[in-house]
Amino acid sequence: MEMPKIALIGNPNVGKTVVFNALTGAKQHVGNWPGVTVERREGRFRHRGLDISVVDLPGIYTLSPFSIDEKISRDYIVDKRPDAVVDIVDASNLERNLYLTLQLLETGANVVVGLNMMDEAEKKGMKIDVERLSEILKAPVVPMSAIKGEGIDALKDAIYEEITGHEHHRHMAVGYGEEVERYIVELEEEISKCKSLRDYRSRWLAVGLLEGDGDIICKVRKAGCEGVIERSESMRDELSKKIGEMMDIYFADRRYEFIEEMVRMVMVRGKEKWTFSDMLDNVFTNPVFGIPSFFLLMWAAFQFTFAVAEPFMNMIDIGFTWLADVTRASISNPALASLLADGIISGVGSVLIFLPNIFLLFFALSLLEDSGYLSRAAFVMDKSMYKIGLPGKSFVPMLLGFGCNVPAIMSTRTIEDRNDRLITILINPLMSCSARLPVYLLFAGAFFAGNEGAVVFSMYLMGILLAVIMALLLRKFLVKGRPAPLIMEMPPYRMPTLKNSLMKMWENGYLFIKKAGTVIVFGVTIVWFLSTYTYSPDAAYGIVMSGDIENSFAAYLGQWLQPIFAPMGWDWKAVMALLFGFIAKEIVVGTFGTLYGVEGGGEGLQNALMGSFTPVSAYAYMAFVLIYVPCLATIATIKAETGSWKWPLLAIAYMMGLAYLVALIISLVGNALMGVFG
Amino acid sequence: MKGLKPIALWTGLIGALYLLYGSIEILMWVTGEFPFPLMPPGDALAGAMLIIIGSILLYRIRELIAMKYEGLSFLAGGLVLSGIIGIMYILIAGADMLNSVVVGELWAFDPGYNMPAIVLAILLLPGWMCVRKGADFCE
Repeated sequence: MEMPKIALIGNPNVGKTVVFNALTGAKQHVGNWPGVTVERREGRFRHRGLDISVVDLPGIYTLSPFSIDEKISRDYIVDKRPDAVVDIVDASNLERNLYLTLQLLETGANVVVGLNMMDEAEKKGMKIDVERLSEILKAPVVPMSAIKGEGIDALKDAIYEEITGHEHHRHMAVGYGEEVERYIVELEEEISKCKSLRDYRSRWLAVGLLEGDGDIICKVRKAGCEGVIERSESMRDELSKKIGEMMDIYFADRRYEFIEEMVRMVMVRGKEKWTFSDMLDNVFTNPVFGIPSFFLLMWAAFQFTFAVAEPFMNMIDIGFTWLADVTRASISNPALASLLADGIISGVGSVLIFLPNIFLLFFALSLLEDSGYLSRAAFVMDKSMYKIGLPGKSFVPMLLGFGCNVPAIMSTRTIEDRNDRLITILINPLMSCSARLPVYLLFAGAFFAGNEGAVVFSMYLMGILLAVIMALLLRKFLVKGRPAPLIMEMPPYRMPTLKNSLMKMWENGYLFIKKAGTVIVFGVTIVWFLSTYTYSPDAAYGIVMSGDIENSFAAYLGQWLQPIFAPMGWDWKAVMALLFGFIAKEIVVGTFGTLYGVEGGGEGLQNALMGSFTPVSAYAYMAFVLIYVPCLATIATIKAETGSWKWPLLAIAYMMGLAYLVALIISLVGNALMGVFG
Repeated sequence: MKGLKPIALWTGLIGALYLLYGSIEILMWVTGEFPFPLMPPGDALAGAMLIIIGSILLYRIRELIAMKYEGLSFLAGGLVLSGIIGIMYILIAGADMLNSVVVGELWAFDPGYNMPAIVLAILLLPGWMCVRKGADFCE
């Protein structure tokens, strides 16, 4: 017997992923904002001896899909037909959530309603008669507060009952009025004649066809039932004339009327009072204080990241310096000792030293995310974003870009309009990902001591500013049109849980460690080889240890490329670091560590850099690293998401040009100002 | 209800102090030294952040004294931001102490810890009494 399969569905940000994790024991990313799940995810759990497979679907508001993630959800429910569909409903927002529930019931799915966030509803003074709701819907309704783990066992029981067939085939239906019902029945008869449509519930198809649902029309057409489509079109026209209303609006209105009546029967509202969320929203989405509050919180996140990480960075620094010394002293073969101590340990150590910063930044961002603040930030920024030709929905992928551009670009799937999505993808690499942070921290610590937090913050702001300018240019010259207006749900503010924040911190930090152990080791080994060996016609294979880095392969290559960057005042080592940064931006710091042969990469490397850079050339270098070419993984993701090489190549080209231009401007203006004031 | 009005006035006073210290901090950044001990470190951005908190606390102070939700909401926003900044500076001081242990140096007080921001965050704490008694407020 095949393992029974259930699907988790619901509106965005109702806690589906929390339920998924609670059911399966998985550790999927949970966010207090809409759009966390953009792909379906699978897990499994065992209950009363039965293994059950669970699929977590992206959040949708209706079964009429507008974006890719909505289509993923609907197609799964309708075509794969899981044994049960668990509809997670926000109890504090019943009216809006029940619309999807009604549509699910119309498909004939075995629906189990998980009435989540009961605690939020109670805080708002709402009392819900769960049994009455279950009677009306003719489906099991389980009250829960998933984030506290309440109601999970009851939900498992309800799922088990549904799957094992005790409660099968109860189909609650919304009545659409005598006249319309007659047409529905007539069309159902027409549909039943078409054998290839027997897998679908005829009433659901009939209602969808009368609504003019494009996706359902496509399904019927694919099934080769053109006659049904023709009949439904004439019926829709007739009905529309009789009723004096567009049919899709008519059906939606009837559903909402039904919901309104149902909510009136099952829910009692308390005295109207402001919740803590209402109060905070009044300030954080205020036209005057919204943006300053956003900057305050982001600034605090960066200050925290920089200042609190210092003791941990010093611990890592001390550890790697000790490890390199021990390695050098214990290995007699000079080439091997140099590879391990000067190559791998120096290179990887100079990158890993920034691990505490990465951990702390993600910890701070996850606190902001889990609290529900990021949705407010999107709302506050929407007006400004609309002016530059971006939809408010772009804000979420842009913020995710601060972590890693790869998931950020994937998250653009929540943007319905193709042009809006394309612009968001193309400017996303300008959002400073965590891989670039070590470069900023290294240079800010060396050249801007005392103002490190502000200098690093300025890099992030520069990335945002350049993204704004590029969005304007792309909208004007390449991807024309107006952005779609933002319709976004504001989740209630919640106290972030330490467990969830630490989990996210670990997930992102682990990726960084993994990269250090793979790509960075590979990169710094090549850098070590190029900086340690040179060409010699007399030696075997033509290569020999150079003894002097200035005569190494790396020096030849770097000196050959260096004239291109001469206006910025960077030496060949800086150019080599940029070259290797093509693979992954973390390698920039690792390359410096290897080229200067400094273990750990802390103050030692900073002192070494102070001999090669000025504050102006260092700032220009930081800006160049921020902007120039996305890493290989990001390029591959742009290709996958746009389905063409044209767009990643465009991103590489414009980012290289822009990086050079910005670095040159910083150098020229900075040096001129230093000449005047300095 | 009467007990909350003095607290509302108190939070207004703290809001004014936030504005004052934020302005001093920016002034210090512009002019350099400032001759008072334990004063802010002259970080313009940090000063601007203190001014934002002070402005939020004072923006609807009249409504707060009149026990209206509108006023209470700005106190709640100010409390949250002031708490975040205060905790951040406490963590920075704690990390610095830990760092002195790691590198084997003697720890000493650094004005960079921004003592006024910590003290003001603590002095603002009674404001939570108003938020907790939100039911006493009206539209």
